[in-house]
Amino acid sequence: VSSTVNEMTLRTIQGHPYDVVSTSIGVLGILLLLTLLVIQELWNAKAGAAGTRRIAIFYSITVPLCMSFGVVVGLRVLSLLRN
Amino acid sequence: MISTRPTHARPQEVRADVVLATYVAMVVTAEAVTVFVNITSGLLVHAGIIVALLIRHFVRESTIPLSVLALPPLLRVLSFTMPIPELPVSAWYVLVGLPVLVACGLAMRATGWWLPDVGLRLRVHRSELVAVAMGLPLGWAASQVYSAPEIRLDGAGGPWPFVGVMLVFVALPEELLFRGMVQRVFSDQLDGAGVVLGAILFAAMYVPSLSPGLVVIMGIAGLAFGWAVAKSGNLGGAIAGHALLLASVWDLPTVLGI
Repeated sequence: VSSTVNEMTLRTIQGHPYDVVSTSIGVLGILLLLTLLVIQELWNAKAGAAGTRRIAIFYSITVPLCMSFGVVVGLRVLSLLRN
Repeated sequence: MISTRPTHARPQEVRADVVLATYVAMVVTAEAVTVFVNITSGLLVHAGIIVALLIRHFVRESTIPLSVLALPPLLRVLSFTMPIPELPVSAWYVLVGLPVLVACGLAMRATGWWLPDVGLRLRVHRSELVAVAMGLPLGWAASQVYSAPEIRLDGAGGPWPFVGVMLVFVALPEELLFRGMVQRVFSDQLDGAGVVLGAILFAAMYVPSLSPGLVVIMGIAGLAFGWAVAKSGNLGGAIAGHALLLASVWDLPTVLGI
């Protein structure tokens, strides 16, 4: 009973092979990360040093998404090595 | 003729209540799409909200720290991308809760908020007792309408580490995010109505529990915890109340053999 791990999370992760989950939901998380990194770099180039403080807000989203990227890609690599 | 109108007049700022109500409506829609359409589409809407908020943060200076509002959609993305199927469910709470705590810390740093600004302070206020007292009855009510997933303590290192996980990686991040940060943004703009809007957002994040009764109960919990935090400026009571609510739903005394 949590908004972090809920009924839908349980059904999705336990009800499907991880390959299916990682190639749909996992890829979506990675695409979101890439989109934000591109926007971050574009803003960095435009604003320069003056925009550094405002750029910091991106880290609150991109750092956790990088952790998610590590989990998704790490598990896929492990799965490939096992096979 | 000389015009008195400025040539580069700034477009009128959209009212804060409209912006925040639209934001909550979008998150509710994203959660509904996640449940009633499919998860990928729902997460796409959540991702769209995150990108839109961050772009707006840069394109136009706003009095509202909109970037903080990107955290609830991020929580939903993480709740589907972080769990590892080989690990027990109790470990999933750590996997999702940890990056949420990291996100909250980085957002606080970026907005210039310190621990007391989000209600993390060593002070007790009488109104916090309301939040603590509400935890058990709300948890009992939740246990009547929702059957929580079975806890497998074998992978959690025993019962007490599991209690620690619930406190540090469920109650703390949810209260810090929803009451400490998002409600603060709402209340700064809307005063008392901010607590109500925060409770609606909190309840909406429970739509994927697939239990309408639980959504209503969590809405009431959001109101009670939100009121206590608004009154005391402290998150301690809300975190304790939230932890008691979790303990009641999972019938932790039985699990712990007390």
